[in-house]
Amino acid sequence: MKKLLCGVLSVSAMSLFAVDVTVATVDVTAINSGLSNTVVAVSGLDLATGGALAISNLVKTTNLTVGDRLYAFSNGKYECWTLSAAQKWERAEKQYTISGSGEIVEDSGTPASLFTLTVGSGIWLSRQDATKPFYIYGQHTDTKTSTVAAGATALVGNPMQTAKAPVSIVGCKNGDRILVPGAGMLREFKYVGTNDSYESDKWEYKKGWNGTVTGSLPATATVPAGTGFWYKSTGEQPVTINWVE
Amino acid sequence: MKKTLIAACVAVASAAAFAGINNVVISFSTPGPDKYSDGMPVIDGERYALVWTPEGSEFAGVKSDGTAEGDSKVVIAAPVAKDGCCLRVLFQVDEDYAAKTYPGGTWSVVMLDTRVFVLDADGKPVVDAATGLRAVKSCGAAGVANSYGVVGSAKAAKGGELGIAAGGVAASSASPVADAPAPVVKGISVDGDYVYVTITSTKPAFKYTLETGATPDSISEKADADAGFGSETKDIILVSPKKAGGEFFKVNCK
Repeated sequence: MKKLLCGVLSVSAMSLFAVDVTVATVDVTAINSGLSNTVVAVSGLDLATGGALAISNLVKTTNLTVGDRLYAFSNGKYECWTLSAAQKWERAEKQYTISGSGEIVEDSGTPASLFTLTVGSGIWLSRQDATKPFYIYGQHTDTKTSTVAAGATALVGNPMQTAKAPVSIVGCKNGDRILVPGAGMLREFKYVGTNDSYESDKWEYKKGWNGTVTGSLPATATVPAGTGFWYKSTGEQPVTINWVE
Repeated sequence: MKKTLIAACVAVASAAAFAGINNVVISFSTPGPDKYSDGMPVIDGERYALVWTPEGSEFAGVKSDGTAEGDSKVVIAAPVAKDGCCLRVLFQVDEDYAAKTYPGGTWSVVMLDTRVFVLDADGKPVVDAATGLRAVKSCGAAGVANSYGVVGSAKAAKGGELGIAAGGVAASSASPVADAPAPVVKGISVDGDYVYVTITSTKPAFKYTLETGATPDSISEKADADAGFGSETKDIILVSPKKAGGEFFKVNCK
């Protein structure tokens, strides 16, 4: 991870004798996932607003190919943005969604500059060439040690600067699952602890050809910096994922 | 009799079938220029259809009423052509509905030809003197397909929770050509500025193209040659502009 200083400079007062200056720190993270499809973590704030990060400002276009796509998952459905020849993330001009009852809903996508994600969220990046690293950036913030995952299914990002597995999950219930994407697969970790309590050693997962293990989250549940995973909640209640003690 | 003409589509479609944790998601666009089989650029409002083909079956075409041949299904035909190409489109199917109605299989995006031509008093297409192409009265009507062209397809990911793209664009025909029966030219007719070659004994998933030349020894496939997928039940018609140097024809199978 490479940090870059002095992304923003503002002068709040000037006199012959003193100048007050505020500086924001910009985090730039190189991600070498090697996967065509990677969950990208939102680890910073929007440089322009200091608030939730706009999709258009999250992933730098360095080493990306025209036609690469971002997919966000929100309110039970996906939205998609495509990298144009002008190096802009362009929304879907037409969206056709077929609901559970077979009804077809037509609308248009949200402009990338208007779709924002909070720190600790995740978004899919689908690349045609996964041989090179890509870069994510945002205004540094220290208030990112936990992530709230809302809804039945949430795309969650590791917002830290190092590979981490969740330390604890508040609101975790029996049957909740963490799904960590890998090369052509999803590693599934199912919580089998007592309802309404979080026990760190009550995760059930496959090991070997036919084995099933119950215990603490293993190393394979570790999420690389800047990437993420799915959190599926049985109770559809929001959970808080803590990345530090 | 339905013409089965492949759009001489030089556009490279970009399609990613992304079976997410819940929904089937297909994002699609073409850089253009997309063209009909007679070389006319696609008209604004023309329809691109999302077609599902079940596991074990092959996409066998689109009928003149806009439905799919065989056990494939046209899920939606959206009027998304603009400025000679397909807009950036996102098709999405609810996971439960997809599991029940479209389990597994292959998803394809097909450009339809829904043009209605201007006809003269004798019922023949009027040709635009400036362009040499048939004058179009309208296009984009639902439930109509004079012809079609497969622009892209991809397999659906198995299981609903892989969250991994199944792949990019795949060629629509993959059967060995050696297995295809020799096509038979059933008839050749001339109508205005076009020559229509009717072919029988064709097979679905095989692509038939028309080669032309000034002599029997100089026949070759031109860059904008008409092409069409075969059919078990219908003749196919390939069209070539009537012009000098194109007096001889040959049907090629791919």
